[in-house]
Amino acid sequence: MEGLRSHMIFHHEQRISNPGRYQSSGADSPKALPAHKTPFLSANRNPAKRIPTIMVKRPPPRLSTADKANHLKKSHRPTLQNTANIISTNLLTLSAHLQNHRALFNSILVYPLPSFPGQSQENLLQLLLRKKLDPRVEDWVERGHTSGLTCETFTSEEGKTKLTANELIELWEWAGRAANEEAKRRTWADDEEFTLEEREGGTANMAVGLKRRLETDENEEGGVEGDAEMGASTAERRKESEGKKVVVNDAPPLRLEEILRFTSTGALPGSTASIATIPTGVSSMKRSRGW
Amino acid sequence: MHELLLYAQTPPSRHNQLLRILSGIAGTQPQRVVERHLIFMPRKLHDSRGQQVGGTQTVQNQQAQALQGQLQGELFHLQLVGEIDDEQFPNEDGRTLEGIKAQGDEVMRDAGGRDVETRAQQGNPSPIEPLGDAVERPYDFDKQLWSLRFHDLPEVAGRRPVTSRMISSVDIIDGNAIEFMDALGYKYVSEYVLEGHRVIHNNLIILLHRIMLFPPSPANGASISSPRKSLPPYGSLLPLDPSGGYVLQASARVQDGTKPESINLGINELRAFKDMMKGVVELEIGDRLALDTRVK
Repeated sequence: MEGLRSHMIFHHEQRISNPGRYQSSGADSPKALPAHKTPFLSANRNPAKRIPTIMVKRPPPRLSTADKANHLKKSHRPTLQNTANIISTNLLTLSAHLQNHRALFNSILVYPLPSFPGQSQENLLQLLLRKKLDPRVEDWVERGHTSGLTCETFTSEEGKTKLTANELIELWEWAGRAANEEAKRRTWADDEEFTLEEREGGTANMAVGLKRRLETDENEEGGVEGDAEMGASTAERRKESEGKKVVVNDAPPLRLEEILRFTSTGALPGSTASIATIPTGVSSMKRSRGW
Repeated sequence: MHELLLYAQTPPSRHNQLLRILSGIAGTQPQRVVERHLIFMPRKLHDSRGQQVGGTQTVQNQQAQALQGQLQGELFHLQLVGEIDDEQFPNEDGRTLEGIKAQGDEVMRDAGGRDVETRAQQGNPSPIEPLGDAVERPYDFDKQLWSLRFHDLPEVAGRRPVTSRMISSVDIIDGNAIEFMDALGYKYVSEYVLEGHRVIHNNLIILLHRIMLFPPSPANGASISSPRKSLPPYGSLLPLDPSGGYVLQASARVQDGTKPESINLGINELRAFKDMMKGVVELEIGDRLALDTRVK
């Protein structure tokens, strides 16, 4: 029995480690190992030791295409996000300008001069004279409109979600991180359950699920004040807590980009160059149209 | 020299906690850093914009374009950086030099949760006071040592998980740096004070800092054409970030940026640090365009 087992293993290993040879050597080939000799040959081999090598020689598990896509997605996520950010900021500024000068753009009319090369620039001419949008663009507008509407229905109808299971999972994955980010931005009081803002606002105005009694500063100090030794430190403490109130600043933190922009070029936040250049562009456009 | 960078932001309330964590990781006391940065830009810009303003649709021929490209080149902002001491800030009523010093050190004192906020409070917008009429002014602008810094536009991130850029720093050990900049054709744009703490961890330079602005002085209004000769009281400096938040900058400097091995070494170290700080702060790559020092 023992011999048979080792034979099996030996045979198995050979098939895996050298498949070409196994296939080429038929049963009548002199190289083929005769079945009755193998127990003898492998007598001094320890079958237990051979097993790992067999394991190693197994072909590596194949990544499914989904796994690969996942892996790709993960490794490229930061770059993708950066690019998406750039695109979205560009689109935002563009749409802001369009919105700002909407009246102007709506009232602009095109009058081609006789000298306009109508023959060679026919496409451009037609594009300019067209009153309706391009069919393709119209499609985009419609798509944007419908998706905007669906977004609205999601936010307006509370309790009822039309999200699919996957979308829900995604939402919850996002929610944990987002809540954490939001929490980091607050100034937390000592007990780490309420923020300072909430403390100052009192329990009544709280929009949280926590219904625990809120210990106010007065209660704390009232408890300690009886202690003569602690008198001085309480006074200090009160002073500091007053100081803290000054510290609590509701101003939202400045975006890192703004800070970096200032440190590299001295451009103060809010005075971005890209916005500043547009008015001159508009005015020159006016000029070129003879306004 | 190349610099590899990662950034994170933190609210003032977490400053002390973060600083303790950092010094715990590095196993050293943080060093107080106060630097004065003067930003300069070239006085004369090539006036090449005039030809293509806004909506003109004239097509340039290639020769003219190439010539323009050469003429234009890229012009960069330069900085003069000088280190200052906390003691060099003039006195302010109610706060003595010792007070400032004590506050500087207090961060690492085992604060029983009470003096945690004081540092953050310090630079907070307080009613702007006229430049302090301090009796003695230890800060001497003419004796300030400067180093001239150049930061290149960061390379396109691509697959690298960190910001990398060329930097160069030259110490000016003698002579008048401001006049030198003037002779170089650079004009003063603005300045700020960087205050914070520095921790060294292996090869990483970790700087937890914030940017402070000088209070607007009533005398010369907005247009200040030269750096200030004196420092205002420390308490009157205004943080650039109205919330008083801090920026954590982790950087590795690589002497030879052309060697991918050494760059990779730096990247790996930064990445390991980023992983270690996960959950404390999220270190991220800096926006390339925000770090753009080119003159536009």
